[in-house]
Amino acid sequence: MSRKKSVYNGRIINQMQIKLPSLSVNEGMARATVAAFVSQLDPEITELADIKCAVSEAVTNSIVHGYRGTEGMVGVTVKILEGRVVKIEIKDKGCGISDIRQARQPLFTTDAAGERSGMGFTVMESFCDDVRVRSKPGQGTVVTLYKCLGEGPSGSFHRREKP
Amino acid sequence: MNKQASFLCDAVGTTVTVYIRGEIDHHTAVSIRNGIDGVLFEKRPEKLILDLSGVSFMDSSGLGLIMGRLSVMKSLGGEMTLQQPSRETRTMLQLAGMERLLSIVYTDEIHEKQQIKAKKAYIPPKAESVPCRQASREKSKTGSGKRRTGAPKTTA
Repeated sequence: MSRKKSVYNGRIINQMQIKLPSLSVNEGMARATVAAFVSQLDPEITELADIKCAVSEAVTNSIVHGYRGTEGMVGVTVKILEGRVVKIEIKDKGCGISDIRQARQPLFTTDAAGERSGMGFTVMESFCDDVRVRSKPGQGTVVTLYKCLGEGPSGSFHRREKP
Repeated sequence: MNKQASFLCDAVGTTVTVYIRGEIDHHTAVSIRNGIDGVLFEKRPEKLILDLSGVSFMDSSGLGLIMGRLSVMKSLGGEMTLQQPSRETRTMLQLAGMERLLSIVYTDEIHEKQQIKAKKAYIPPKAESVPCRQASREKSKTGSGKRRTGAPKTTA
């Protein structure tokens, strides 16, 4: 599923950081901003759609589950690494996850009344190359998404070189 | 940047068709859900058709919306269909295995084009050039391909 770990530790070429209050209206803002930033790599439309979807899931999780009934800030950091790898960190200081393994199960949700499908982590995992979750109850959650983009069009500045 | 979602309800007889446009996420799903449920409980239709052709983005909140409406329709004793899911929503529907829960109707050109594309994919590109090359190879093997000046001298 995941590539070699070294791919994810490449040199940072460009990065961006945004902080948004945990209002649901900001979900669209977060994914649109990330997509705009990533588009400098000339990604495929499907790759961009995958990234938008995964970011939307992670930010929604922070707002709906992390800060349930409370308000806080959601931080989104996007880093473009060497070799057309996109690293996206979504950070909140909400309630945290007590059982990460259980939370990542398909169809698992703690908010059945809110018509959540419980597919958030499943979507992130299937649309990204790697998903890492760090969380402690009461201390918040950091979700890190890695997406390795394809070769890119010829002439692109960040074109991945063939080995 | 953040396109608000909108929807339009069209009730004909015992069928209600809802056309959703824009982006479906956790934020916009709430208003769509309330709007559709309002119509459903007022009209109590036998069939609900959700048209997703105008949806430019959908995450798992959209799945929740669809599954929620499905359970509402079941409680009303009706059925539900998805109509013309846009390209953006298809991966999400496939991921959740929605076609096992309800019927999805494709009546659009994209689906037809995709099917034609899939059929065409079996025919190799430059269909004419392939047999020609094969023929020339066969000729060169038999030694009758002398018309081509640059032919490999494999027979010599």
